[in-house]
Amino acid sequence: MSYIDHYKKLIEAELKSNKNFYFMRAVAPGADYFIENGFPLKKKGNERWKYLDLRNVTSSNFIKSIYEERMSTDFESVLEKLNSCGINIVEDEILIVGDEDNHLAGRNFIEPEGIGASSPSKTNIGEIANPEEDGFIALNAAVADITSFWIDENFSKKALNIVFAGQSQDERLVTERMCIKILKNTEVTINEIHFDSNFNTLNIPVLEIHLDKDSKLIHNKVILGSEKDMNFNFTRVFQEEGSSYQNNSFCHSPSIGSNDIKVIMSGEGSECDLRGIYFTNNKNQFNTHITVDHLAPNCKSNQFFKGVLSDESKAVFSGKIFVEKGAQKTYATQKDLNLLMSKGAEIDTKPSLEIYADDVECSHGATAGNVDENTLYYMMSRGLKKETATRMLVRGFVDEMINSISDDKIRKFTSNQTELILPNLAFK
Amino acid sequence: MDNKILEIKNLKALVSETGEEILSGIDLEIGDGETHVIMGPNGGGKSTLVNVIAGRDSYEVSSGSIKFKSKNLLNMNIDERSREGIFLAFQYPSEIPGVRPWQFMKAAVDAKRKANGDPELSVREFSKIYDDNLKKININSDLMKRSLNEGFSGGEKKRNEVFQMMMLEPNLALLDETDSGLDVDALKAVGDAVNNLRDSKRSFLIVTHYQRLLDHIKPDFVHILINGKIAESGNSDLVKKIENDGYESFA
Repeated sequence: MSYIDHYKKLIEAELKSNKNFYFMRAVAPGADYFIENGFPLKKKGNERWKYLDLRNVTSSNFIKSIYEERMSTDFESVLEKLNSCGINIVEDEILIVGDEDNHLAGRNFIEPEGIGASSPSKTNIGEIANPEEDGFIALNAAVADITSFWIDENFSKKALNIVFAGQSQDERLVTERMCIKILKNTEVTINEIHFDSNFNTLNIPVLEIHLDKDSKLIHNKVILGSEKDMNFNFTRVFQEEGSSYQNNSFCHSPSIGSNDIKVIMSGEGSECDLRGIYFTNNKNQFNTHITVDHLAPNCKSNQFFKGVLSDESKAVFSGKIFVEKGAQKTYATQKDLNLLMSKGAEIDTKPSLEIYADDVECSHGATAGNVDENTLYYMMSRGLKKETATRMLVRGFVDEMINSISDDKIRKFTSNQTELILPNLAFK
Repeated sequence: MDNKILEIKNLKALVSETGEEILSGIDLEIGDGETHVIMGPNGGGKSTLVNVIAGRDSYEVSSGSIKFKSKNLLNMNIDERSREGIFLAFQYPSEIPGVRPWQFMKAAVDAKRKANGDPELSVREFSKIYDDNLKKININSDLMKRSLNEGFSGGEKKRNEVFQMMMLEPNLALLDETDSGLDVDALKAVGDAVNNLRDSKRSFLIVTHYQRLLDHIKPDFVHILINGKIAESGNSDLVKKIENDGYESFA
């Protein structure tokens, strides 16, 4: 039996349960697409995934995780980890995903003023994250656990923490789908934090975010991978006029996975600023795939990513800037800088620009290098041991990204996580 | 009896990568508290000499010896040499993104103290010394909130080198063209800082192209380095001879 047959059964069972009845317009195309195409395993003509070896995705027949399993042993320890950087359930809004069927009324989350669940009939699932774009998104759409809500001005200036607490069983498939609408003139922060527990799981979270006119979202995304799990993480953003989207990603690679962000700048005068750091080690493979579609004039976008790669790990950065014919006065930049800590590490960095307007300003740049010998010499000449100097250098390289995170608690959290990650990277 | 802090005997060194010999038999002794100046034409080996003393591993010492405080310097790593009391003010200091000058110096000072068996300084104790020295060398403290040397002008970088020297209080300071690229005010500040640090326990080896630094710092000895060898040594009168006759007359 091919793996597709396995998922076909799984999809049919989901459809029978009628749970996703309201969302059929996204579920059906997702199901059809996946059953026909499966995971994007073919290398040929497959720009997004061509550098990664995705065969492990089909090595197990993953079954859907259920709520009882999901209330993982880790729940308390997850809160503890968050607590250490100041996020706690007394002061903060924490939505633990998978906590209950109705996420917005889980035991740890009472709908605060300014946030409300969208009725299923008004949910725009699949409108921003096209199920036919990618096999992973399609599978997510076909069997998704859907949470849909809006945030309005009454929640402005506050932060919502969405925590994916990890799985406690092997061979489970987790397909969370969140559709979030930020209403007009609202300014919020969303902290999306994935604690991946060390089980053989296939996580495919998809966030669809709609930014209304003049709204502003700061989206901090933290992926803490483990040696066993797989995490293919998708963010799809649709921006209306005058809106602003900022994404700070902090990713420690799972065994294999991706941080895949696409921003559709549909409204004039909108801005997006996408930044991130990725760490890869052991034999892990991690893909950072960024697409910014400039569809309207006078929009500004920035992509700035950094990677720290060690051991025999592999990272891919593919960043695309697309400028539609009418999107004049577009200003778009892209930069990807990589630090290779060991000889066996590999980075494939691939910028791509597709521009149909004639009055635009676009730039891109990528570097990959080892720790600079001159700089090491300079630091050691001040009495620092090579290892201390190297660690300080890498920390400095990372801190440039962390320091631009405006949410104090997440900045502290990612800074603490960096201290935990760095000793696991081989500085040789 | 005169104590020699540095004794270099028949030192030959080459570029590791190419095998090209740069230093072809240097003999040099520096006594406690002495200030030596090295001048010479481009490519003569001035920078190489101070970098070999500091331990840069892109050079290979093919023969000869260097003793520092009577210890074999060539057995020590770059960082050990520094903790032992050698400081090199770089001609081209590195820019280090994300590393704050304060944090960097705290780590360096603590590393040295630890090596000497002294306890680490408290943040308060360290900050006081740090701020005092910044004032002395006249560096804007806002500048030091940036990443180390990032966005610093040429002159600011050189001042920062002298500042680090003040913080680390070496027994032997090597200044590699610290005066180049400085305006008159900065040159005076660097000269004053060096003069303030001169005492019987601290020696200087200063590489320079220009006589104007020597208006501020009066050296005890001047050496002329040509083709990897010291062509002539003397006192500051030698500087005048260079001005009048150029280096050609020594070759």
